[in-house]
Amino acid sequence: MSTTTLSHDEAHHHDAPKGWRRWLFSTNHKDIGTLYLLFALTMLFLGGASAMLIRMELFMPGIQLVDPDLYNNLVTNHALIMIFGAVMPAAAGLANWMIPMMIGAPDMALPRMNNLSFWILPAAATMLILSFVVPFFPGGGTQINTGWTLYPPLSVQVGMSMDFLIFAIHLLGISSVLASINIIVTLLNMRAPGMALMKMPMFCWTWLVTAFLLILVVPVLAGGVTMLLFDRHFGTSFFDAAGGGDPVLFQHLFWFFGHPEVYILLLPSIGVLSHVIPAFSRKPLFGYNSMVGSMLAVATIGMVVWAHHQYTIGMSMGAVTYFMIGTIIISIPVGLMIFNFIATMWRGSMTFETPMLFAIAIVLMFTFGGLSGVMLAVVPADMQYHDSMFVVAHFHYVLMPGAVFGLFAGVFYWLPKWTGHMYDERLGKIFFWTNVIGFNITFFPQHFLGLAGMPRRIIDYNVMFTEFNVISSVGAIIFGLSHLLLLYIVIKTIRGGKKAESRSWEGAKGLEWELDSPPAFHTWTVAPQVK
Amino acid sequence: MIRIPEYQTPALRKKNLRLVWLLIGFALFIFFTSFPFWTGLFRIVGNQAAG
Repeated sequence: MSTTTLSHDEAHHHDAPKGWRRWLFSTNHKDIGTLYLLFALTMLFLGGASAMLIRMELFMPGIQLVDPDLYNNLVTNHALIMIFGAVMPAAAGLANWMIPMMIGAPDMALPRMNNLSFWILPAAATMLILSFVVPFFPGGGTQINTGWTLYPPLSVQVGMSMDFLIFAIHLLGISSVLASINIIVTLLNMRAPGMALMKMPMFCWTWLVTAFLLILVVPVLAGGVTMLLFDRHFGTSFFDAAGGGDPVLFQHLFWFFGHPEVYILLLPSIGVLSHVIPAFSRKPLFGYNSMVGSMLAVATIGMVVWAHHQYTIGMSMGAVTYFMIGTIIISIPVGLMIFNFIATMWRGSMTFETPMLFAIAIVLMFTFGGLSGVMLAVVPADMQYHDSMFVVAHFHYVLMPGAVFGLFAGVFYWLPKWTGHMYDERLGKIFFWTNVIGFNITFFPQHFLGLAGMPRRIIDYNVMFTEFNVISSVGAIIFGLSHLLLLYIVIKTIRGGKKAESRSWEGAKGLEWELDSPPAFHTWTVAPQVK
Repeated sequence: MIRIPEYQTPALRKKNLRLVWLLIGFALFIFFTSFPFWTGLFRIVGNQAAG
């Protein structure tokens, strides 16, 4: 971690603009960060509502609340809203708020493009929601029953709602790529004097790698869905075997995006952990260089193992062996990161405020999700687990702790900096425990359901699976409702509370903690000197 | 948008925009090469060139 000589000129403050223009025309990284975070929170509740409906439907065997096509559309929408609407924008919100403050820059390199990146999102979200709503109207066609993977030929046969979804994905992709370009340019060109790349805060490193991954893989998804659009409306046969095409090609294109997407969701949270764990262990991060190396290794290897999602399509023995070995190798750099976090905590003066509780939960539960990932990477085992509830349990153990808990840790860690108020620690801890316990009650039984043979994406199930499904649905109610407490804590902290100091946490290090809490509307108008 | 002389230099602006165009170009390259008909087209052209 770098040390600084401050020459911050507070006299440069401008007051924030007033009214709706402040938000619509904003070029201020903090305001745009806030917009991203509010958008993500809204989508979290929307995606959560669809998850609640799914779990209520699965509470008992038989068909209770929704018809099978609507159930599958709920599954599709839940995934797309959570991934593209909640997690990615939340991570972008943290990036917008923190990156300029961490590297001593006055703003993002391209503030107008930053505004555009955000304001594309509500339009994309509207298209995404319309794709769900349109089938309810006369002539609206069928529900999107493909799941988020949108595999043809089913996705070619779906009604016009699929076109809304394809355009939503295009818009989301454009937003992500523009935001990534902005982040890369900011990190490479706008760092304070003296801040070499290998002195950069780890959160910035994780975002640099994430942004490159996004630029590498999002255009491939855009290409895939564009071809889908052409197959649907313009008579092409990219994915139609009858016309000389190949439906498996779409799977390759989708997972070439889809697998690195896991690391896109994961890495910003690893960045948050790299600040939270040292702060609450009162020790520097163990193995900074190896963290950077591991991250680059994860990103590189993660780009070339996509087909482990498609073992059952009938690849050659050589191909599945390669994808299996490559996938298992990823556990080495990921394990190194986890080892570094544990070594940072080792013999530290640890305290257990809410961000640290989430960090420890991530280390334990993400490791668990990673281990079931190694099980799924083994080809003969995957033939058994494929498309079962075991997979659902696995990726929720990876993505909830790995991505979402990391974002929660970041929000609680930086909330005092953003609002100028300390959040209610007692409520924070209640939120943590209800959230983590609710999560585990929901998803742990799904491992057993999957191993016993319950398929995923199917509305009904055999009565032998009832008990674990009831437990899972009860857990989902606790888990879902716990997020209302998060909303309450955030609103309460924005409205008031104990005044936060500049360095809100005793062990916090970095340029952002040299600024007031809340920071002025414009910060680092004179670049700090980093030693 | 605040104007900060230290960050409004033509040199930094040029440096930023150069990187932006490079990255946009890269993203477009990835987008267009994900379409398989390019490989088919190159194969046809290659076969014709080879006689």
